[in-house]
Amino acid sequence: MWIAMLAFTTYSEAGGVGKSTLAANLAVADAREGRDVLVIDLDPQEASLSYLLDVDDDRDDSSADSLVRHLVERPRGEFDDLIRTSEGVDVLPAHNSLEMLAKHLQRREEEASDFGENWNRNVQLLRVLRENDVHERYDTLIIDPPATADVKLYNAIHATRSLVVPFEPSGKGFKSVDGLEDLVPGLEENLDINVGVLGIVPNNFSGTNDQQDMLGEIESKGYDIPVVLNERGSLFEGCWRQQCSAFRYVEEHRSREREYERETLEKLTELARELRQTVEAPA
Amino acid sequence: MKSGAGDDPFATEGSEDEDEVETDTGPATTPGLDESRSEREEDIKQTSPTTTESASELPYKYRRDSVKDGRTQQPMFLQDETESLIDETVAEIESQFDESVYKTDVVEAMIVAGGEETTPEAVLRRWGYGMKNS
Repeated sequence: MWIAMLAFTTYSEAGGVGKSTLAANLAVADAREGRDVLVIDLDPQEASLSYLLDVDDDRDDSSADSLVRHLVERPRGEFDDLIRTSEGVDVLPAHNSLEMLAKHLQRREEEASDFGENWNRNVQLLRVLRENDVHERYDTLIIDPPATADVKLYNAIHATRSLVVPFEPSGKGFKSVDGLEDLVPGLEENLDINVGVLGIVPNNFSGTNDQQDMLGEIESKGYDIPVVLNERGSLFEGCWRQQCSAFRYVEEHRSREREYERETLEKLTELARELRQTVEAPA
Repeated sequence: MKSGAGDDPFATEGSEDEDEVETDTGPATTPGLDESRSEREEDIKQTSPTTTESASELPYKYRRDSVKDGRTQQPMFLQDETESLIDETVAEIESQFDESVYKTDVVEAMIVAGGEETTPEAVLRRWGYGMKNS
């Protein structure tokens, strides 16, 4: 039986909810299951997933080829040469030029329009991925765009159609789930696609009554909460300090095993497994 | 939006490909233009004594389904004056032929005319423009 590639975008309206940390760890979890995994970092900020997985050293080289060049059909080299590997995961690192992506795409769209051609700025990432047979070569595709609603996020959602939503169980975090419901229907209509939410992942959960109520409310909206990640500040901070996944951090940078950290790794593994099942199980 | 997986963006069935085409909602050829073109095509078929059944003998303009058919996209780097010249030429030819012309056709006709030492109008006539009023 042919199984579709698992493809999702990590989405959150607010920054700082562990979005890139989650994306990187889910990627490593799948790679550890023997899957071929590609992660695309679309966040031009320095502290992005490429930094976490320690593959961000070319981000300010303006002469280097970059995904931005491929998105506007001005590549300087092969798509595969953009890819770096970290902990068994293929990563397409972020490049500083992503900051100007909206402008570059707009110019390209205007140029095409002048010549009477259709060219939509929000569907270019999927074009590049298809042209390079990403869906035939990888089992898992994870795209980590910045939280801002712009062409990077739209291209990511258009290319994956499925979302994983890390969620900080606070008033602010709750609002961001509402933000999702404001953003996605418009995108679905404009791009003629159907978007699904694979799961909402509470992070930094401490178990107060308020937080419990929020989880209840999310579930009552019909969303799946596959796992709840408890407060693991020091583990995830350690990942950023050592530039590695939580799996490697516990294995290599902890002198003794901590029960609660092992539990967090198990939850990440479980989450990755549940996400895989969304494409393996008949819909 | 729903809970669970969205579409498969990499599905290769024809329907998905058609969806892809539809999502290219950039501001390009207006439907009106296409419509009037196919109406003209009907006119030609009905009235022109030289019309044959063989589509390959129709001029390029009437053979294609879209202005991109039979063409590959080439990026061009043009000076501002050249872009103005193209726009002026489009306007001039539209008034001369009394019909809409695609900018893409005019640009290529200008290049071909330069190479053949003829005029863009002559090239466009060869491709099927100007038949309405001739």
